[in-house]
Amino acid sequence: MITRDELAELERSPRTRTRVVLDRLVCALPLAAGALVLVQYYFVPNHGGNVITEQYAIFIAFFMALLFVALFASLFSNAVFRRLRFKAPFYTLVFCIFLGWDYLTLKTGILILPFFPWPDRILNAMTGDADMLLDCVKNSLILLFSGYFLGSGAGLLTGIACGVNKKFDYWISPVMKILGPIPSVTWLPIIVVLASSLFSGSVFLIALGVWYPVTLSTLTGISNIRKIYFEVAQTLGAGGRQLIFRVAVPSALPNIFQGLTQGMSVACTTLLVAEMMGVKSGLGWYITWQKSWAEFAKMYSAIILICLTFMVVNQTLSLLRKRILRWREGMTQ
Amino acid sequence: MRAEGGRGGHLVMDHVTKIFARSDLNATTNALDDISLDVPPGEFVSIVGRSGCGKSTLLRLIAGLDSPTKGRLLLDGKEIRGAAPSRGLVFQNPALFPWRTIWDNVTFGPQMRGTYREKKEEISQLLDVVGLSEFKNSYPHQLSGGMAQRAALIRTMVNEPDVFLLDEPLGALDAFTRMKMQDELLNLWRQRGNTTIMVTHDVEEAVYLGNCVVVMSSRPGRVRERIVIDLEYPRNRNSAGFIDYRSHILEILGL
Ligand SMILES: Nc1ncnc2c1ncn2[C@@H]1O[C@H](COP(=O)(O)OP(=O)(O)OP(=O)(O)O)[C@@H](O)[C@H]1O
Ligand SMILES: [Mg+2]
Repeated sequence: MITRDELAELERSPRTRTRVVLDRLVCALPLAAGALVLVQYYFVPNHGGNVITEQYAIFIAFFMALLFVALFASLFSNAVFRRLRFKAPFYTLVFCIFLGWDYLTLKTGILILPFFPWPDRILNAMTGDADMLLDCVKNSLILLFSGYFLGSGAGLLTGIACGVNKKFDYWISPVMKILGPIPSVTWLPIIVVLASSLFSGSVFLIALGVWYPVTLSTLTGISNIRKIYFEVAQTLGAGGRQLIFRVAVPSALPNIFQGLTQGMSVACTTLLVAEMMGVKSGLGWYITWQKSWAEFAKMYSAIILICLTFMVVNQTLSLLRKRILRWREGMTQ
Repeated sequence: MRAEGGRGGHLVMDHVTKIFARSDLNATTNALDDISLDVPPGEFVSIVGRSGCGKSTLLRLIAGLDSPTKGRLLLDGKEIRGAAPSRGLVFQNPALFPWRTIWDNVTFGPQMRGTYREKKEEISQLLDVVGLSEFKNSYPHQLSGGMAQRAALIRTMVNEPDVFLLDEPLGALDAFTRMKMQDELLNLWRQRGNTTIMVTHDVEEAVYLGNCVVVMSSRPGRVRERIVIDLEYPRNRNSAGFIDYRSHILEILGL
């Protein structure tokens, strides 16, 4: 028996010698671009009185070191090589963006301060205010997940209830059709007045925003199940609750995950709006606060953190989906 | 000759008619018309008939998935209402649950009914018998059509229904595997003695397995003739008696 890896290797189309050499070169391309960034950073004179620190160099060098390790490993492992070959052009682009950014701000001043700080300044802002920023990340995540879990839980319950019970559907569907499409932040002014605390009000808003897509997708998933699965299950002795949790829910999972992903993006938007408009903590609040002091570097560092945080959250969600929907591997694109 | 076991159900169809509404035009299809059949406990009935003559419909009625327009169906004197594991149906297409592995598919019934622990061993053996043990952990879309059919067969069989309904269960198999599976079916039926009704397109298979063969005519679906196969099991496909039955049935079918 051959392993999966060997199989993949066998089924790949053969490559010519030049092709092989070219592939290796492409793998080294990001390193070259990174070196270029460092060369420009240190050897091209700065515009005006711009000063630079070591931090940016360390930052760039860190990623170059990682890439170097990968490049070295790719000589011995086919899997690493393929992965690196796949990602290399993208990494190269990222370094080139840094290169251009430095050039436009730090080196030539075409884009001016305070609106356009260069990466080194943002890095310094980030490390300088690290405690505060981490606290903000923590608070944002707490708010985000409180609302998200509440909303997706409620959405699952409503979706399942409407999917399996016609009477429930009769009463809930119209409510959903009317209220659902309204972006949940619309209610913010009312929530500010009514909620006992801004935190619980924001949790409610996020939950509301998540609830709608999750309910809708669960409902769609359940109503699209082929009738024959219920019939098979029934003739095999499943009844009532088993039909819901062993047939309806598992086969609706692909749809449900669609709703959960969509719900997450709604939750992120709602979170930021809530933090920028009312809540006195979290990254959204930090951004408005720093903007009022014209601390643009700090503002950008918060934006970058938001980006990273949401990326991690979404990545986790998609890993979870892959794991749970493993049965669809090879069945869908 | 009947099966030795004694756990088969007594099935009676009493002037059963089934009419379907059609969505395309304001018309109806008369799928089954005035079917009366008495199937004694433990009997193996083969049903043959042209495509579209209502064979699947009849099995669905017995399984309790549809209800008759007119007439009654009785199992051991009680009217059939709704699906129940005592009437197990192997569907014409395998309809395995795509989100469950083969093992989780074939153990679905016992899992739902809380008999998983006692049945585990037996199910393992059955998978072995039909040559699927190697694919226990595969998902249905990774199986061939014939393998999926065998898995579906096991899935219903492990539930030990009083009435075992088979809708062309061996349709997707090659001639060789098919003959092997026929013998396995026969073995299991003789061990367990459940009343079995099998729809098939293969007249030879019908004669090889059934105590009797019911020939249906189409549109409306009616029982054309019920032929008792008076041959000892295991039957010899080349014996004169066997060939006589086969040509007789083919004649009724108009071939
Ligand atoms: N749900 C339904 N709605 C409307 N018409 C139906 C339905 N199910 C079956 N029919 C009709 O009933 C008739 C009998 O169908 P059935 O599926 O029982 O045939 P069959 O004998 O099993 O055919 P085959 O051998 O091709 O499987 C067909 O004319 C079909 O169009
Ligand atoms: Mg059919």
